Amino acid sequence: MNFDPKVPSSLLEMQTWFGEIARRPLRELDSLRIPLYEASMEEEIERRISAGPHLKPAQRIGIYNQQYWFRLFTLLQEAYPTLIRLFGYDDFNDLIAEPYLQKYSDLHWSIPRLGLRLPQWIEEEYKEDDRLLVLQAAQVDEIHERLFLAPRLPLPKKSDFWKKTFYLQPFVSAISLSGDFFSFREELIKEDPLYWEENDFPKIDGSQKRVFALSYRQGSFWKEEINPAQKTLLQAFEKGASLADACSQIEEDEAEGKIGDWFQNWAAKGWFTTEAFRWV
Amino acid sequence: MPNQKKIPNLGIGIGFRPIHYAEICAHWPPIDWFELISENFLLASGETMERLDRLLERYPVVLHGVTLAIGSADPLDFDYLKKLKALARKTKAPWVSDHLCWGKLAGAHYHDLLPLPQRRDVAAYVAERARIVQDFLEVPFALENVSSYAGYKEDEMSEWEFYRTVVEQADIYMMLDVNNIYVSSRNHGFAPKEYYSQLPLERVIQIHLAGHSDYGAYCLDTHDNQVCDEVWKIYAEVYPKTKGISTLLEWDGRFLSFEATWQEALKAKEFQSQALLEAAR
Repeated sequence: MNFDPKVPSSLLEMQTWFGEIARRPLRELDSLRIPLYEASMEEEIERRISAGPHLKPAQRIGIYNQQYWFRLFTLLQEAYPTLIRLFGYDDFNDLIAEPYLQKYSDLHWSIPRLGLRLPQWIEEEYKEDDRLLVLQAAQVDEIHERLFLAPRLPLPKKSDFWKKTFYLQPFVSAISLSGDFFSFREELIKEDPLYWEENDFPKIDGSQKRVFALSYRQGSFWKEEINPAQKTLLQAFEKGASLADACSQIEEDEAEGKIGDWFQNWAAKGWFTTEAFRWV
Repeated sequence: MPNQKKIPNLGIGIGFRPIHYAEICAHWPPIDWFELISENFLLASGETMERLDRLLERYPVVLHGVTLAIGSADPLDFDYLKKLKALARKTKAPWVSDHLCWGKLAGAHYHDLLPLPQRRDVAAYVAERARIVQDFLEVPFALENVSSYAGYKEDEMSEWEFYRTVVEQADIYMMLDVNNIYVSSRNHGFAPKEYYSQLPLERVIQIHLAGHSDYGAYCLDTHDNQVCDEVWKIYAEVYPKTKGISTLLEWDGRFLSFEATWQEALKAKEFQSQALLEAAR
């Protein structure tokens, strides 16, 4: 761990202790909706935290514990409008948000980035039968959030085109989905999450695989259906590749001699940059 | 010694919040100034920056941050500070502020304003970091008092002594949140006057007003309510002692229309006039 060399050791020790309590999952709450702690922990808190005019030491530090989760749950609920409708508030908080935040604490000061690793967490940890639907919901929500937040990086110069490594602008992303997931999502987010606790979800035919490129520009999201070879190319540029490197990742017959056209089209839309960008 | 007189009095402002962007940019209302949450613009580009550019053509702005974590055990984040400095230059912000708290540990952010133990060694640690921040940013830097819900048994001084010690040792400014004084007074059981009467008010360069949630047994700083009478009373007593400084209303939840928010902020003018009249008697 990297700490300020001048930090008083007792301050570091106290912050470590306080931070662990602030991050404890909420279980039983009292009538003020403040978490209750086991007796041994209450004793430890009483050794460190003073009582207030109306609250016990454990209740006082409990406000920070409560606020930590309330705040982060709310942020994730807002960032994942499809998931919150599939799960409802309580299950979303308990089954998704809490275990995600316990595994991936937020390493960036920018709050909107809090949920950017949630699809990764679902891939790693979520094992239920509806895994595919949940993963797609998370991926599509995450892409919307990410593209909305994405910076516009400098466009390549004409002279760069045959020499340099190109990156996909962070406001563009490619994704494969089962069926017409976008219509399903649109139907879902028309209604409040509470509505879906009482009503059946819209139907989705997941038999056909479809691939899309999504981008955010001029205040709107744009999606266009692409083919798997185009997705492979775009994902190569997402990691960074020269045009020749990217082309080497697909078979010639997949591209049907159209790679040049695709590349020109994407370049004309401003989808490339020569700057690498990392989200987290 | 920081000189309050060299800091412009921008008048009465409100926070530039996303929910009001469209209305503000459509009508450019006659507001004295806006406060930007620094983090909302540090990574911005495209439309957000275009909107900011248009705002800057019309209004003065100041930057108020929430994630500096001046009291954290982690090293200062100079990548963040470089971005903040660039934004301060771009916006020509006459000062930059953040909170007297901690909120980050071992690289992980809590996204909260957590309380510091009020000890001399902690004050010295925070003061040194605050001085570094002000030197690095090359603009006046102010720390805001936070609302707190818990105190430590190891505290060696009151919150106001701690606040005073930090800003004096660092030779920086105060951004005084009068709602936070009230919320903390309720949560810790002290009289608000005890707090503000012992502050070096000549260091205050901006006042924050806000509403809070009162749960009876404790108050929470929620910025989603009208400013209560007790907070206006504190404002009316503090403002004349500052020789006239910028005032800002924060509103961050259960949003009102832009116009209603502005009308709430304008109440500060009435309290300023009354307070100045009384002071002149």
